[in-house]
Amino acid sequence: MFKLESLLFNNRDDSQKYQFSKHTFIYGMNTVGKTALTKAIDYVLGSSENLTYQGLDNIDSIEAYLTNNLTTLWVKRTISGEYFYRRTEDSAYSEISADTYKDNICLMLTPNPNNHFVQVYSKVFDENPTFRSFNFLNYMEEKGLGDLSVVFTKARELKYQIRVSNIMDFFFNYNNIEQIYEKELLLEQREKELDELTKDYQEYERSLLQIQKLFRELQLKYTGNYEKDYSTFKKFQTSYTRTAQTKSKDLVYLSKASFSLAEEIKLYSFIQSQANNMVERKERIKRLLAILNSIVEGNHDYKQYIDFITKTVEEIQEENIILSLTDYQKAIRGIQTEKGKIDQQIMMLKGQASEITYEDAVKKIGLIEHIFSILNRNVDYTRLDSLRGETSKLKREIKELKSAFDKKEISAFNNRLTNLYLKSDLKVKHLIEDLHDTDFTLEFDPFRLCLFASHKTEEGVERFIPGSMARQTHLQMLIYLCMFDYLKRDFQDFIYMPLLIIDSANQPMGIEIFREVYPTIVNLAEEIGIQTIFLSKDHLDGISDQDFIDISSGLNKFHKQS
Amino acid sequence: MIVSEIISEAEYADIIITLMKSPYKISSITKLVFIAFCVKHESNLYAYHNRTKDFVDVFFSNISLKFSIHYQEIGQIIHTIDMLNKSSKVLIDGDYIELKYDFDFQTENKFLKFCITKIPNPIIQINKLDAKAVVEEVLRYV
Repeated sequence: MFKLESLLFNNRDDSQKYQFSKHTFIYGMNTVGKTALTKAIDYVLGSSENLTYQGLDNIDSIEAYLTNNLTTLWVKRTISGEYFYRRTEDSAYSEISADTYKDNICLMLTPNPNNHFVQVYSKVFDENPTFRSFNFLNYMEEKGLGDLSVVFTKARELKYQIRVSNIMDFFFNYNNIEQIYEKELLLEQREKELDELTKDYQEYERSLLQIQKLFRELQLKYTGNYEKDYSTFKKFQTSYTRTAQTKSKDLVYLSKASFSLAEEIKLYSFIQSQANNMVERKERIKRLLAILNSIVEGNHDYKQYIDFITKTVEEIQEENIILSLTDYQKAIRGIQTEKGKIDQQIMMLKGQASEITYEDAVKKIGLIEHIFSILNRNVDYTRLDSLRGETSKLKREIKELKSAFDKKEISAFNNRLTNLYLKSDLKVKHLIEDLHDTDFTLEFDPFRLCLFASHKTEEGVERFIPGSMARQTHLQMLIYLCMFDYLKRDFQDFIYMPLLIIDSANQPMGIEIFREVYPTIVNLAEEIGIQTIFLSKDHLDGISDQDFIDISSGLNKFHKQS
Repeated sequence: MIVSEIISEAEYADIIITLMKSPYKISSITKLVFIAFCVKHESNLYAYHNRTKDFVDVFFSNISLKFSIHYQEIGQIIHTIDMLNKSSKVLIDGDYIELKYDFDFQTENKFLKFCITKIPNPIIQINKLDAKAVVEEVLRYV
């Protein structure tokens, strides 16, 4: 199991070592460097921030000794930002990149990291997570203690907000997320195939339009039937004979007819939209009358106030005569077809009116020949349609899965949290109060990262934010541990660091309550398999020497007092 | 009655009394009902600064979706008018309504506060419509 064994501050040839046990208790009054120690640990474990915290001056580098049941790792990070590691105590440090440094630490967390989780996370959230992504679980900072509106103190920082929300979605909605992952993989494959087919299809469609235009220009009759059109083309290729000009309708007459039909379409479209408006208006009148009637039905006294409005609405309703029920759509379609035919004739006449040189004709023949070769290719329409259907179905399903949410996981988490809290058998005031409350339950909302409690009152179930700093800090510590417990059970071999550093939790709780609560938190952490480091301004009795570190005289012996 | 309804009615009481007082002096129940609803739900004050559309259009178009969702608030408005009537604070004759009691308070409604500073005052402009025209406008968006 992963453990942070020791931490070393180096200054030239001198060093200062802190040895950690499974549950270390660090004692020190204000401004001796408790928070500085958390910053130093975070730094050596790969934080992206520089080590500029007050009290950590005159340190050249920080080393950490990490172990798990199988292997050991020494990591070192200089203040100027270089990364080193070594596998055995006697070997020399090798310089490595930041990524390799983090990868090495990551390998210490679990011998067989479950890459599937990481792949799912990367695919769905478009971000490659490392153990650093989950380090908001490792620190309960002094700033933010007892704040149940943002339970994880690091999540108060802007840079963590979006990530933490994604992570919580991932942890508590994993079943859906995994399905989203599978579907996104399938969608990617199908879209690739569709893309290939679409290219062919688009070329085919473009060629169809182009050949129609070329046929028109050469006054060849285009039928849409490949065989017939090809034979028409072949005949022309040997004879070069264009159809004689028709004498039927001249260009001017046809242009006028087309224009007049276009005007007619505009008029009919306008009338149609007016008719639609009338139908909608009738619906609106009906809706308003229904609202007014429902108010009067609710209380007949209101009739006197509503009467005038109802009469006015009814008056407006009668004033409007329903327009003719002609099927405008049908008429518009008919005119459009007619106009299409005339436009076709106009194009044909324009083509006949123009002269084509021999060179032009030869070029067009070459082009048509090329287009026929494209049209001759088989585009798999059935596959194209099925791929289009499948991709849009997959997209729809992914969207639905993203919005659907399985609350089972959250409710199991909250049951566990409530049980751990209520059954901790502590004789502290806030817990005794909550035990006497009817149906007291805790509700952690992982997406808003806040904690509510609920209880039964005479008026029903009431939801509230629990009060008192002691209670709030106690609950906050339990949520951190419950999260680790949840990960241990549901995300085995996932890359999170089983370490919880709590800075000054004694202060908001008060020493009396803290003395009671501390052993239960340590026992729970032991049960879950989490290493803890408590930093406290109060001294606690009964802590063994190996678990106790006193930094009352200052954390950093190289620090120069200003 | 749940708390949110009581708060909503209190808001409407503020709006209705202000609309019946000077400078608006709205004297038609029909106008009062719909204008009060629009006032409560008006949040896009920017549209009144940037006069690309007529005040009447801006004012009524705003209710389009809100009326479908909060239609029960028309009942709250009527209830408020009824309370004023039963406590003899207003005189009602058919659609005519007149304030009979001098309520000494300043409105808390954001839009009404804004209108007082705006020249021309949007509500005075809208009040120029008669009751039937107001219903016609409402029917465009209900």
